[in-house]
Amino acid sequence: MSVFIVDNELTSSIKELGEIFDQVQETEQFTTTLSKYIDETNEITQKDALIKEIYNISKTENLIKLNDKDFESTFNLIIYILVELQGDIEKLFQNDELLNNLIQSNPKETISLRDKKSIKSTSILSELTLIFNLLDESSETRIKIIKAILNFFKSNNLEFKIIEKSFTLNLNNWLSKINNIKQEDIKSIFWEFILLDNNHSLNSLKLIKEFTKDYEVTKDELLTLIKFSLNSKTIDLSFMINTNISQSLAANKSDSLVELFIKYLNGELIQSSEFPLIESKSKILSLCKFFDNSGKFVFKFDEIPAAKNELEILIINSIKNNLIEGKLDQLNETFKLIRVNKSVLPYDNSSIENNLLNVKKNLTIWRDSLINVDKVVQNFRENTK
Amino acid sequence: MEFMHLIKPGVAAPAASSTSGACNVKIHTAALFQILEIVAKQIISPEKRILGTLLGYRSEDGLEFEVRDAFMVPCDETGDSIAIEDHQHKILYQLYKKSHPKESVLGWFGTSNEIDNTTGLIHDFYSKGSDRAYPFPAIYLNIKFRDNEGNIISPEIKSYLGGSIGKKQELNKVGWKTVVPNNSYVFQPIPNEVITGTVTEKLSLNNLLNNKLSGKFDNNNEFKHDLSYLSQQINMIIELINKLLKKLETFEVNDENLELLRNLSNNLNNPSSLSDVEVLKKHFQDHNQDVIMIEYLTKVVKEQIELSARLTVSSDKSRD
Repeated sequence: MSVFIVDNELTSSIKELGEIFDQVQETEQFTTTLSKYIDETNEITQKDALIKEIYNISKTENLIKLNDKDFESTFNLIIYILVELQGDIEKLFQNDELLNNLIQSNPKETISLRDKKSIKSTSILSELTLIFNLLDESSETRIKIIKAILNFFKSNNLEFKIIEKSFTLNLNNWLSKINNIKQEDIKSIFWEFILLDNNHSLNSLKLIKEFTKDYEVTKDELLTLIKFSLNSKTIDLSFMINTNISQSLAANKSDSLVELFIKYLNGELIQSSEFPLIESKSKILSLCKFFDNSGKFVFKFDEIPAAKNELEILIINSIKNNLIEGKLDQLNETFKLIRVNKSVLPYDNSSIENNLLNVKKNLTIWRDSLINVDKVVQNFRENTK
Repeated sequence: MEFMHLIKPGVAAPAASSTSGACNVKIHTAALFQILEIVAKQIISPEKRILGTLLGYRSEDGLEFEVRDAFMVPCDETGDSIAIEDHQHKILYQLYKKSHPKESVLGWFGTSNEIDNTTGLIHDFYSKGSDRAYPFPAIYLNIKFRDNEGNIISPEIKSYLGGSIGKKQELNKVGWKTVVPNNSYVFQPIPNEVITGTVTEKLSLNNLLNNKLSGKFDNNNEFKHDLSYLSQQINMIIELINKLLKKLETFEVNDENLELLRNLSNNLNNPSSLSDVEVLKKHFQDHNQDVIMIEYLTKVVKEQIELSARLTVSSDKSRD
């Protein structure tokens, strides 16, 4: 949690704030105005009026006159003074005035790289983060701040990678600790965050999987999930199908998009104008399914059900995406398979049973081999003594 | 992580980089042990503050801090003031700098349960002046090892950067000293991670743990140089496989089990490379014969060198 440590008296900090704005605007107006609320004995008089005055000074029109270098430290000072005067960080955000002033200080046009003066979006983001960290972890105001950050990203087209790591790792944790948070709020924040990821990354898919483990998936959420995952570059999507998603798929299987998604998961060849990547992705998945079902490890090119001109590239792409491991022999036109990704789907009981039997068999072979290895080692130890 | 960290906060340090991005503090296991040892060796009252200097590298963009070592700096705290033994810090740092010329002071570590005015003073000490983090921003690593009732707990590590508040004061030159009159900070949490050690470090740690569990603390208990360690590890894996097989006997379709099945199915396809015992036996013996041969040859070469040195010495003597 963030903590303010200020070695000045509050009245000195208030005067300092006036001086900062006066220096920027080359006036004495702010210092004079704020001095009215501090008497000769250095005591604050008319606290409520002073608070109002500081909110007035913190208006966007004044903030945008600061340069980027001074913006964060000045806004930190404003927050510190208001917290000291109002007694609680929560009170600062009971209405949206301060938050709006901060967000609206973001330049309306893209600033050039050479421009060192204009306030940067990242400085505003840093302040929003500070506000979040000053709030108690159970505070409902945190919802407002998270929503403000997500909207700020959306409206300014900021890079998703800035937010990705911190939100991916912690969003569920932050939301779960907020008092009286409604499930709808949690869900809407989550999906709003996910949809900021224009790259439809694997990390976001993993996060969807984790999130939907704890919450039922409605039809709308399922359709969003399907659109997001089919637009991603990740080919094998079976890993993200948990029991909640599986139940939602079963309940909405009459929907054309759900039907398409199930076909994709089952490794069928699909074409769709809505999803440009789906055709190439489904070809790779279908190839993997063929390898998995064949029960063989060496294949001649003629045996593999794929067009001859694209077979090699399909195999290479499958290897590149870590779906299969193997060796391609172009001279002899053969492919030697070492490993293939298995699709384990909660609604496919026969596949679960087969995979379970295979795993048990392989584990037993591995254990027996290790026992033999141990014997070899023991034997060697005795011989070398 | 209960806090949010997206962007490096604005700091007052003159050489702070203008690159915006998330910060990260990487703590080497050796440095962490050093810090914990410093903390553990102090027989002191719960109120007594322990602090020290963090040493290591900082990345060029100022976003990554790599803590590689630490030393304690004595201090005397009375009321709101604190006297830090600057001289001690300077001597130890200069000594360290001789063997690690590329490393520098990254900041400091402390054991206080809360961030207070004294924290600000210490942070100020490390943020200014020569032989400290100045002109770069200092980091603060808080090691909490007592709960609110004063009981010893498993250490909790938090790291902070001191964001600036208010006016950025101009630097004042007082004689040859540069003084920055800003003592105010907003301590903002930044993520940290303990860097997993190398295989050798892990082996040593396991050995220490095994000794602790068996109640033996024998420094001479080196790793056995025969193959018993290998055999021990093989048996450990066999035991784990047995546990896994037992778990799979009662398989129910739920998210956790599906995840396990996916992992096992995708990674356990073809373990046949271990199953041919005779081939394996041959490879193993051949490999070991090679090792013995190298060992033997090394000994021979060593003896040859020693013999040649003796011959040179005796021929020199006979010439004299």
